[in-house]
Amino acid sequence: MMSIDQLHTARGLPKAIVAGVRKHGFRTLIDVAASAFDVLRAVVATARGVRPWTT
Amino acid sequence: MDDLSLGPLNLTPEQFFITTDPKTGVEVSRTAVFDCDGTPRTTITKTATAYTAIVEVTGLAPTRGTNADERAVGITSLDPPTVTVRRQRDASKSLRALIDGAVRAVMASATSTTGETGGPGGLILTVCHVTRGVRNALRYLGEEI
Repeated sequence: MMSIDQLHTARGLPKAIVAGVRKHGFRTLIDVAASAFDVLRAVVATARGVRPWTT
Repeated sequence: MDDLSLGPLNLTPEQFFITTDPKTGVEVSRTAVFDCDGTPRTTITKTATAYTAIVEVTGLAPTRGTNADERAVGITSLDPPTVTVRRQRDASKSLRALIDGAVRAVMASATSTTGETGGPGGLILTVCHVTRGVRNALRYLGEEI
């Protein structure tokens, strides 16, 4: 499980990706690409004002 | 509750299980749990009408509840961040809504806990971590995503 400190950092992410590739193969890389796509969607939604960040 | 090994993924009963009605034996829901280092523990339950995602991050202690905007997108709780999305005819649309709702719930909960967003990098990495967890759990469920 992840802690709140790790949530905002990339610490452990490369290790998790390598472990995922070993266990699940290249689907992990597809997941990483898909999460980058999700990031892009979130940024676009924010820029358009569709989904403002909640504080 | 029955155990089921899900084909080539070789999932354990802790990672995937089916809940049935004890009286009739009819399947009620399917639950997948994705938990690995570097990813929030994500539990997704699929019923006939809805998907429910619970994203667990240690240390989250939000100081507020959900507001009207969050409830409108299906966020039912911030501790732990929980989102429920109705299943639609277009499956990809509801899965995207589930991912967006989970991200927003975790962001709101983390911001309410620490009092800061983490900046652009923190926000992007939060999206990245949460979507990886949700997508992997959906894959355990057998969803095409």
